[in-house]
Amino acid sequence: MEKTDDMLERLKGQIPEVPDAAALTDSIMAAIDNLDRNAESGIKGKSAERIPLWLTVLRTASSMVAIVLLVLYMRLETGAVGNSDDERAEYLEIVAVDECEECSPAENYNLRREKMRVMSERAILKKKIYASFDL
Amino acid sequence: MQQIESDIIRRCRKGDKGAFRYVVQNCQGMVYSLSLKMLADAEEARDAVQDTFIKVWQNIGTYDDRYSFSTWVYTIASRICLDRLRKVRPIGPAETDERVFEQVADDSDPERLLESSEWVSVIKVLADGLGGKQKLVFTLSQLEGLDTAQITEITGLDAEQIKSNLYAAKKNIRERLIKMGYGKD
Repeated sequence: MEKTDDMLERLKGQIPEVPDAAALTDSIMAAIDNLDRNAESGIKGKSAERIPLWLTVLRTASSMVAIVLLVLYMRLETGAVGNSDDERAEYLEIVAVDECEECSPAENYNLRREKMRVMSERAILKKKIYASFDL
Repeated sequence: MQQIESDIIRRCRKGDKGAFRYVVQNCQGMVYSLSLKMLADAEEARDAVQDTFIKVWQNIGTYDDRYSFSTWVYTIASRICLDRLRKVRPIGPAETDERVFEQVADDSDPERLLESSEWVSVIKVLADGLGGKQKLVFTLSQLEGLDTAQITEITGLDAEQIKSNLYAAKKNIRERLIKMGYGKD
């Protein structure tokens, strides 16, 4: 028989003794305890961070309302509302002239009156537009 | 291989750490043996044992009762060892390892059990240059004394692959030992 085979045969099935086996067991169990503790605190942390559903819905809804309001405000400010009342308001803006130099005082008086009428009509229209958006 | 009663495993599944301590106490010897022979480093072997039992604890719910518990633990341990082998740069045997090997080889007492440090030297000399798979098959078959069916279960290799890996490992070892002067008597 070869010497190498003989040696392999001698080594077969030999179990080396664990140096300080009790300490190794303790360290394994301690590692497992730590692992479980970390997992537990991780779960607790996560549940503490969990946001209730109603709050999420409320947040989403209020965000959406804020966006709608912002869009409406911007559209009203730029006069881009495409309904007939708005077009009329825009038209009134154009026809509202303070006075003209060539006109007689009576004509200028009429113009001022006309402007006041237009202004009040425009105010009413704007009010209507805002009301149509439930503002 | 160490057998663990199914009742103990059931208790472990329920989170009974006392039962798991019993498992560790009974199985750490075989896991340390495999790890030491695979890694040829006592500290690395202890770390591998710890990693193995952490994995066992975490995955005990997935253990299938139809198979041997020891084989399942061996499977986890061998994967951890292969993983560690991939991460560390292999260090060849030093002169002191060769001297220890010579002492062990020339020992006239066939019953003498090797110390951990002697195992490290012997493995460094024997398995130097073997690939991970060859080393695993050689360790399980030649050093741990497991049969082909058990090795198949642990490694997932079929009988032919085990045979060829073992042949290649033995050839490699024999050639190196012959170079060292350990040929035929």
